[in-house]
Amino acid sequence: MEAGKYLTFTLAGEEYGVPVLRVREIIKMMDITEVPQVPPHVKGVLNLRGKVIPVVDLRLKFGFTKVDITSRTCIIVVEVALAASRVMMGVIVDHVSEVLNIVADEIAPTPEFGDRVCTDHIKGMAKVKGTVKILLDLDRVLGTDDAALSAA
Amino acid sequence: MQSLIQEDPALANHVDQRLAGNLGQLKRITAGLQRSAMALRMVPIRQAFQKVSRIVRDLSRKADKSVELVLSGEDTELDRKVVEEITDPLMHMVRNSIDHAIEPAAARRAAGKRPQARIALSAYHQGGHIVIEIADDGKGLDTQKIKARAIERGLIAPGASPSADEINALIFEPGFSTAEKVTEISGRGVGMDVVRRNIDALRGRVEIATEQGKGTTFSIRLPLTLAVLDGLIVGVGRERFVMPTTGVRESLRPLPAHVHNVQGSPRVVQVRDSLLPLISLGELFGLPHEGDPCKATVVVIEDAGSQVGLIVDTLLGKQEVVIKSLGETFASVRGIAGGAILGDGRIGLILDAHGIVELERGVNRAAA
Repeated sequence: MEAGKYLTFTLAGEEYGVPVLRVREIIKMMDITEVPQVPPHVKGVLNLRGKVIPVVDLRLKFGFTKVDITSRTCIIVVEVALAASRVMMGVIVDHVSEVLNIVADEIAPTPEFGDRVCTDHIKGMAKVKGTVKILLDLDRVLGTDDAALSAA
Repeated sequence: MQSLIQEDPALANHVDQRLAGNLGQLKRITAGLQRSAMALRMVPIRQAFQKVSRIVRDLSRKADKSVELVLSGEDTELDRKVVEEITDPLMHMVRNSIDHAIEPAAARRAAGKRPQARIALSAYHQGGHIVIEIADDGKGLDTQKIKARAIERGLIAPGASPSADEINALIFEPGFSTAEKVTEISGRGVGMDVVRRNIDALRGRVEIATEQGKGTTFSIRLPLTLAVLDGLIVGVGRERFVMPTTGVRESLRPLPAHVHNVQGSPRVVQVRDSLLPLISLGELFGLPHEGDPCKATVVVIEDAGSQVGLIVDTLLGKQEVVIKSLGETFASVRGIAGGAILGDGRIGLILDAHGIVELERGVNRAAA
């Protein structure tokens, strides 16, 4: 399990972490253009200083209920490896917390939840200062299956 | 340039003449800058055609065939990158035409043709695509021979009965050649597959129309992905779309008497003497939209020679936009050719007439 700096954010009351090296920038909620024929969690595309990047609502992706956009709602722009290329993608989260230095000792492997729960997209759980942060595997969360899902 | 336009709404709140004046000045400068930047990107296809004409001259001498090259549409502007990428395939295809398709003068005379062969190279815009045509008046593709060779090589099963188009498309297979002998110019069967690969890389298509004894026409259709596009901005719900003006014939607000319902929803509109099928963009993309075409606007678009009426809520204007790819994530979205950043910084999706028509047909089929 990789130790290092993680950017943590909140989603439906839980703390999540993504490797900070994969984060390009954090922007406030912007006007998103919807794209037809895509699953609901793919919110559309936005204009990041002239670049067109897809945006995924992580709440919907993980099956949480939709909430209204608040002043703390953020889009984290991350780099994701897709089948053929590395692309920038925006991820909508409830709010961004902090950058944490997580050492290897603090990371525990993902526990087995049985067959009913798919944990492929979770890299591990970090116990920091008494709370648990769920460390996400970005390529799994946003990568291949998203590209495939857009066909559905 | 964009940030300036983004500032524009703020301008409305602050009425200050000097500020307005200076901003106007800046706008003019950036507009000029944009124009020159665009102009740098876009080059006429002439330079690719010129290389071809040299090849024709050289080869006709070498192969002892008299060939007249007719060029048209040399001024069609293409993205510099497209022109660079398309030059080699073009040269290769012309080389093939001269070597394989065009008969020696004696054979031409015997076939009752002009001894001097003719290759026409033309470029034009069509329905949001750029089409480059290479037409020769040679002997045409020998479909039977290609089929025989394909069976020999196991590309098609002996019992299968592929259509002539399918057979002709086999000439793009790697290593495929029906030439009996390898000449100095060509005949190794390497090349047409490279041509196709190059065109695929530009996300284009090649079509072959051939008539035995009369000649062959290769049509290369290139999408506008790399090009700058003149677009008609249309609104549906709160989304805006860009329709390439090359694919737009006209736009109109039909009279109730001219809209005919089929199975309860408006499906056909009468435009002067012709009846056009109607497609509601809002319905197709699942957006809130104006249901009554008489209150909305119908944009008549053209796809592959046929016209359809696209129902949109409003026409918002015309703008020159730079096409941005939506990327892999949206590769399977049909009816959308890309995105463009509009004046206020939001993204408008670029419509693909061909995709929309196909999508609508698919929707109808699914509903039936």
